Amino acid sequence: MNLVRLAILLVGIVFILFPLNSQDPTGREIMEKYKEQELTNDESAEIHMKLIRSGGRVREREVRMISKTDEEENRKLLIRFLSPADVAGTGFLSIEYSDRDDDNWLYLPALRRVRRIASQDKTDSFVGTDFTYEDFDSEDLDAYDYTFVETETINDTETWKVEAIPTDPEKIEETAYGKRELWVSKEHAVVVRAKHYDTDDVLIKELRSYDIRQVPGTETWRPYRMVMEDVESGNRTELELTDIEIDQGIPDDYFTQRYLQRGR
Amino acid sequence: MKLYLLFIVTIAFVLVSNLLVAQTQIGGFVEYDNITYFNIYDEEKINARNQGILQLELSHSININADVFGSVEIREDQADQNRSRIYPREAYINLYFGDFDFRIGKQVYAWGRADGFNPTDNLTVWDYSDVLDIEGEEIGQISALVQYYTGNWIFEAALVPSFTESVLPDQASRWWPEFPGTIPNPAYPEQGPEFVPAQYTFNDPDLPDEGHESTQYALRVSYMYRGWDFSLSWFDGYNDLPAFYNTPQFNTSFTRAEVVIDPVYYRWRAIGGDFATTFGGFGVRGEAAYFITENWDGTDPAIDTPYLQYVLGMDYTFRNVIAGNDLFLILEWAHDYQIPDRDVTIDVMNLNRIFRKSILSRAELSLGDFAALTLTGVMNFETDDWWLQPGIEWSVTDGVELDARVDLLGGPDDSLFGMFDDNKRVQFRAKYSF
Repeated sequence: MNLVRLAILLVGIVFILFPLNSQDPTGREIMEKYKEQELTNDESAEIHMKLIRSGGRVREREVRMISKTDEEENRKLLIRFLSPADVAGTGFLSIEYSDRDDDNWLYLPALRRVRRIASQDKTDSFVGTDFTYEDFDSEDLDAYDYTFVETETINDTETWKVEAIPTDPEKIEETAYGKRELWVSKEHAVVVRAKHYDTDDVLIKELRSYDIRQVPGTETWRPYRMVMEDVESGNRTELELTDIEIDQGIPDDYFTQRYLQRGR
Repeated sequence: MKLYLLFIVTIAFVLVSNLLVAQTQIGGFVEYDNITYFNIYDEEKINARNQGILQLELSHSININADVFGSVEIREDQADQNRSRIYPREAYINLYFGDFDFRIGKQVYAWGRADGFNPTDNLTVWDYSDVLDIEGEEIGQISALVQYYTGNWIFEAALVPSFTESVLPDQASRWWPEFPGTIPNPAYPEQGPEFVPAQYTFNDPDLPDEGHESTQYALRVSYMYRGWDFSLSWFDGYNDLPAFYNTPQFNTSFTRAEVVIDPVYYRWRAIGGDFATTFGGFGVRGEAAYFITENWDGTDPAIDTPYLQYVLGMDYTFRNVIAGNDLFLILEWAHDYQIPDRDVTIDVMNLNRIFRKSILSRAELSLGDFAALTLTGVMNFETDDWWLQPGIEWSVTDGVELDARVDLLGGPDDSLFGMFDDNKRVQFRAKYSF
């Protein structure tokens, strides 16, 4: 072996053993940290929604949202509108089963009936906001290919920028996003910014998270303020969360037609 | 009371409500409602609606096991003073004990899973003073309801100790039917002409006796299983609409007649069931009830013989139909037939039996986030009459809604919508919820 070949071999070994930016985890590892942070048994919050249309009109909504993942990995969500008065009392209950189609019910106080409704399309607007149902989905790590892009500082927060591209055929079918760029804070593994692209790689929505705080009594961090902007229409929705509670042992009874109708 | 007084009372009420304690919630709405008919064929009739409504609602949480709710409606109709009223709509207490919920007091029921037409909803009585506008016109029943929840099952029992009848159109209303000016002469050709002029006299209704024998009750069992909701129900009570007994009395020469009409409320029973499920993006629901009347052998001229009603329908949301707006569509088939089979004539004003072979539908096309075009319609294939209601709804700002709708109807003269085809009209409503 001549010296040149030896040098190339040594350089190769060094690169294998000590890759560049060795302090940065892979995209998958970052998202595993995020997922660990995101996962809870149950969670509840009051959310003040401000819907700001491109013309400047503003509508406000107040909801109470509780969610739970039960022992059978079924995800349960109950949303109750607290204001404005014309929609107050309206309730939405959704149970996502791990082994079959979802159950969804709507309670409209004016009709006094609990109405079973078809599953929401994941790309549908979430209660009239610029968020869609998939924006609130738990991150499915096996459905995406995650690539670490770079480190970046967003509002004085050190972040990893990760590109997420759906690879699971079912996910590709149901999502409106062909690509997401996620900025995950290094300190608390919270998404502080996200850009959502359609399947033609056109930017359609942008999420910004603010006021990231530790939820009292837990090791979990959450943004207490989020803004989602629809880039195409210019509409945006601001969410302000209060009274966030995590793993308080919310009983399964809360996610029934009884509580949907009863409201307390 | 003048309309402006309603608004003053509303403002005062909202201000006072802010002073009350946190466990008490006060809300409600104030509404202005105007109906204008396209043509006036009889100046004696009530030819408009021009009303204001103030509805006040109070709910108070006593503790974790109890709360109370009450609502009062103040309605002032300047076009029809008979509709003006101060009316306690509901007043009840809820009690929660483990798997049991109790509701005691004046309350409105809403049984059944179909849209718009619910054969199993026999506990509800209605204000039919305007036949086309019964939205929110349910009348509370003083009653007790107990619900027991266990797993996916719900067991319910309702007890109604006193009878409340539905409100029928006033005789001066445009929804009061025209009675024939002449009736057949049974003495013809021996005496008098083939048809003789008739006058009509309406006696006071014959209401059920007060007392335990007039108690009504209903039972319902509901079950949820793998994407399906079901229920079975039983009702033993009174028809909220009367049977009309007509007794013609002729003068001695059989040249004229007076027809005495006696409304009589009668007992009946109904066994029913309903279901709701979804297939893909479709919502599918159905409901049926078999009405067992006291006229099993068909000898009573006024009471219905036993009959079955069912309704089967589906709904679907078509995405991005026009400029990114969605279209929500409900389509239902309703059917009514005699069991056992009989050749009977169903009175055109029998409001329980409007939909005998009928398609009912509603379409809502969203216009942006806060407005929608609507189209509600009924086509009765047995009687060839129809009703169509295009409309527009606009949520102006949080809590403020405007809507306008047009009622178009037609059909043969001996059908419900045909009989009232002069009642084409436009309706405008403004509502502020607080």
